[in-house]
Amino acid sequence: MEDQLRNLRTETLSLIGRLTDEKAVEEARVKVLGRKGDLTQFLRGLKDLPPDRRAALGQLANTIKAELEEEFDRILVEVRRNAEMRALAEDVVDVTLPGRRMMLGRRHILHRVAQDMIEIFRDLGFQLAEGPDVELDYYNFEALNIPRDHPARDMQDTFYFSDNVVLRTHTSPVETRVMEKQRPPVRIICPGKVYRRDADMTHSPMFMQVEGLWVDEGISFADLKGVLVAFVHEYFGAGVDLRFRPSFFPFTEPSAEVDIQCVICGGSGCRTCSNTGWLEILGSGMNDPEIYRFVDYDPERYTGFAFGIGIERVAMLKYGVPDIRTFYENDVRFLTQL
Amino acid sequence: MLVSFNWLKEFVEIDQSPAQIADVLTMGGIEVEAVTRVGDSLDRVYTARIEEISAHPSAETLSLARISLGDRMETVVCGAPNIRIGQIVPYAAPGAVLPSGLEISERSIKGVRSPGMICSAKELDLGDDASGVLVFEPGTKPGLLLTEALPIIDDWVLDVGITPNRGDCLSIIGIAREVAALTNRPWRRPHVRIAESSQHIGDKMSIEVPDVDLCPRYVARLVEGVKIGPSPFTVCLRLYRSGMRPISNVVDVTNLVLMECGQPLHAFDYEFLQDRKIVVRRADPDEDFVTLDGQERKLPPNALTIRDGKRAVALAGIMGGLNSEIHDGTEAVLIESACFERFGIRRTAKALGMSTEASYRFERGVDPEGTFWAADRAADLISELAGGTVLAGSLDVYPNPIVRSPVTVRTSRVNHVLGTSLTKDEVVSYLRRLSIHVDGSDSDMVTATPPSWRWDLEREVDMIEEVARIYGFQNIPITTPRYRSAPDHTRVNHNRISKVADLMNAGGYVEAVTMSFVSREAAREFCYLAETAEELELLNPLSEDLAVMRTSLIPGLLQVMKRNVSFRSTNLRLYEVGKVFTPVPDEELPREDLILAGLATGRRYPELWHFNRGEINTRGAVDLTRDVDFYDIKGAVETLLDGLGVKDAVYVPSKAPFLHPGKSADLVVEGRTVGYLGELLPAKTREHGLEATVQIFEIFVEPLFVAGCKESVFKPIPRYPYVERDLSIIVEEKVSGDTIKQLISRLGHDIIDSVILFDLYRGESIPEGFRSLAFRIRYQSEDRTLTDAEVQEVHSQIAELLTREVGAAMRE
Repeated sequence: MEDQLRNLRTETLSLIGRLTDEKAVEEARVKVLGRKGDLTQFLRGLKDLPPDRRAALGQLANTIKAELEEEFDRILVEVRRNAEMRALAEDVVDVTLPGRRMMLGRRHILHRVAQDMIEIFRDLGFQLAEGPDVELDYYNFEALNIPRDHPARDMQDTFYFSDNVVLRTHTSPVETRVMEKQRPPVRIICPGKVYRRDADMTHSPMFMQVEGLWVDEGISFADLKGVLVAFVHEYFGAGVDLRFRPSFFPFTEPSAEVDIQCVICGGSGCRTCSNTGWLEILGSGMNDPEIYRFVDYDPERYTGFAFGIGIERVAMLKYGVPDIRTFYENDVRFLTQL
Repeated sequence: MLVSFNWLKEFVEIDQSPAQIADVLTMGGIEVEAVTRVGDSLDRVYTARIEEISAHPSAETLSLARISLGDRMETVVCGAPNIRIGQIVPYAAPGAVLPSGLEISERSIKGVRSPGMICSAKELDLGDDASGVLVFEPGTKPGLLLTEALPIIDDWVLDVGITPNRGDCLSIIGIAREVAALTNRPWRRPHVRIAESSQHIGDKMSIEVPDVDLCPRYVARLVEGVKIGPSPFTVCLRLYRSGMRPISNVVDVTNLVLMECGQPLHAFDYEFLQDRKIVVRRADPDEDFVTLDGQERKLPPNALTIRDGKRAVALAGIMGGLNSEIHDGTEAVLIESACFERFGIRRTAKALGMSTEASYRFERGVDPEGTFWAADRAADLISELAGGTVLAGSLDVYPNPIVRSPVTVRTSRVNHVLGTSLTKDEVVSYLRRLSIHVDGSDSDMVTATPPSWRWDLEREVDMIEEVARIYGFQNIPITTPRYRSAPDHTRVNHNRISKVADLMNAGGYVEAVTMSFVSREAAREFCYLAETAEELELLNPLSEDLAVMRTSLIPGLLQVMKRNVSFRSTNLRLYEVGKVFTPVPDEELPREDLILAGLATGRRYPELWHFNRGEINTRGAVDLTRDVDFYDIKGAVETLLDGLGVKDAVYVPSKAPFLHPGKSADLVVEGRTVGYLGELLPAKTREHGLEATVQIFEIFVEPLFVAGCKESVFKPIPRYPYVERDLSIIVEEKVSGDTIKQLISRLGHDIIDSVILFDLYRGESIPEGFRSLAFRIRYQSEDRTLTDAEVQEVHSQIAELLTREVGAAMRE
């Protein structure tokens, strides 16, 4: 009887090893362990045996029963897993087709460029200041050392509302407004829309600027160079060369125009840079002592610098946009492209 | 300003190439915008002498010119009316390529073979004149290459941009002085030797300057016996290369001297000057004057005039008068060389809307000491080119000589401002290179007196700039400033706007930026949120479409939509954050309010392949062809307010005249109308040339920030399960969703957690004028698990309330 039991075990284990589907597993289990199963029958037959054999065989039969139950459980998990894997292998999607996208808008490229610039200048120590678009002549011109009859007014063709009220031609008036309220140190950038009466491929009657101002004791032209070099290297890349050349702005002295190495040709000369290898990107200079007079700063004690950057200009260079008007046509194909 | 390199070299020694000089000037602050080679493409163009002229056998307007090229002769066909035997002319041989690109070949003209052609100045780019052939001076040698016979032709032209502070650079000599300073070389001015007659100008002319405040210096010279005619080729070429047009020898001399030294001159026909005198004074009130361009002009107050004994003869420093102009018969010329007050000239020129070579320079300041020299130089050149004799002496009215004040310059300050460590000797040497007179034995400080032509060097800082220029900006070190770090609150507003933009972007809206000015009609059309119906008007708009400051961003967005639709981008979701402008009574500056505007049109869902399988999403069955409607735009606004933390928002039907009366709402936040949303009135849509329906909204941004910045306080997350019950009712159309919600919340049961509308139905089984609304009400308690009984009790109360208050019928 013991052999019979051991044979049943071996046969069952061998059967279990060949099972491949859930239904077969259940059938096999019933056949062996079910109410009328082979092992169940065997156990039931034990009661007819003498007690001494009954105990030994009973123990063996129960051990085998436990082992087979475990094996059936194991094989059940295995065939189920295998079945699932086979099913998954059939359930295939084309992963190259597009997903269901969330609709996503985009900020205007000029605002993204401005934001990048603002963040770079923030890291360099500048705070932020804003002011009105419609501005008094006093702030836009007079307090910036551009008197009424000065030829420097020709540098910027201005929109007027009255003799005293203009559309600001730069965001410099914000600087004066801040200096009126705050004693040095002053370190601000002033982003915003500005307006000049001009319209062609490189001029828009409305455009955007970021101006910067730093006033403190001991600020020098070398500091101006340092800040602008840091900005250019951060924004256009550390390898981009730049040069400072003397220029004129009524509110700075000395004044410097800043050119960067042409980002299109790398300085070897192309159409964008008119074969000079250089691109003008901003105007700057040391604050003219005259503008301190309007805000009651002591020009002996405080020096400082200012600069102004055209955002469109920077965007045009950075992304190779040839016509400034593209920014304001707002063609969605453009707005969502860059 | 155009600068001939050959001409420049007459006044300063130059070893460098034109490109190198251009770089030197640019890095010295005189920006050279272009360097152009000129006169170099005349390879097979020769000087030739016309020996014989005969008629063309078959064309009346043509002739045959037999020309000598020194060692050989050619016969060419010529159509120019001005050819004469003995003239030296340019001859382009076959193979020559003219500046226009025209290649010369031997060809037959009306049956006569013509090996090449005789050229006009225009054809060779040596002048504007195309009316006849170019004729050289009689002494010019024939048979030579043009550029050998006249080396002046082969040249470079520098296009130079001069900043408004550097009036002294508006001439060839002015540029030469800069080159000299930047390259550390001397410069020179042409020497003038005049053969004067014995008669003194004072015998024939007198000058009075009553308004000396507007005319610090007035110099005159008189040349008699001139013969007006064309200028020689070399003079014409110089003027042409300077961008000027030759007129006649006397006028050309005034322009030549202007270009040479920057002093504007005027030549009067002496015979026309009544009473033989010049009076320099302000115009009479409302005086009319005809300038030599033939225009009659009403002179503004304080306009300075040059007058003879009877009348105005010139508008000082701007333009001469028609009544005293040089003409073909002029015999005596009075040369005016004056130094007019800068701002006076500018005011008058501006008032008259004029800008001339003369006024441009006077506005920027001419050299008061150069005035005298320029008169001499012009007299000398006139007698050389037009014959005649120069009368002895000049008339020079200069009662209060202009003196340049000395400026104290501290070496320490130079280094402080520039961040350099220059020595005093270096500072002194840089200043001296600019003809600045420097004195002083102090170890730090010197006294620097600028030359007469520099109006811009009045302060120490001006001198510091000069030092920096000559030292070279590239040599100044690079440092970064120190500062004390501190928290920065200046970005709060900026960051909030970024947040608004981020929320709109996340909702699929694309940002546009449109012009701040719009047409007057557009400003009025959408002026709804503004407190006043007035708009801010530009005095000098670019066009009527950009005439007033915007009162709404909608006109701009509609224009953007129109443009995009015209390019067949018809599914649009756009927004803009920008300012609108409202005039404020008794204030100079308007109110500027930040507004967020949005526009949506076209399909609600994007074109996606997945939707083509009849899928159901949370909004119900997807109908791909659905266009956006009121609830899309409202959803966008609600999501935005949610993102900004604005909780107290109410939507009430809007009365905006440009919106669909049934599909529009005003947005009320904390009791104030801060915006509107809705469908654009179909009539408006059509007016704007659009076909699709358009959903728009506009909201003042500032009140949202105020309402949204309330501190949030933690509310414990309920730990007990909630119970949901649906309530389906039929009510009249006029009973709004809000009314029902408010009624329910007025019940005041603290276990009502939320009321959500989940279905709205009209149609079958619902009577006309009624609609079915289904709400899902969530019951929730913070301290216990609710029993069915207590939920049922409140739920029944709600049903009873709605039946009582709004006549709701329950649906099962």
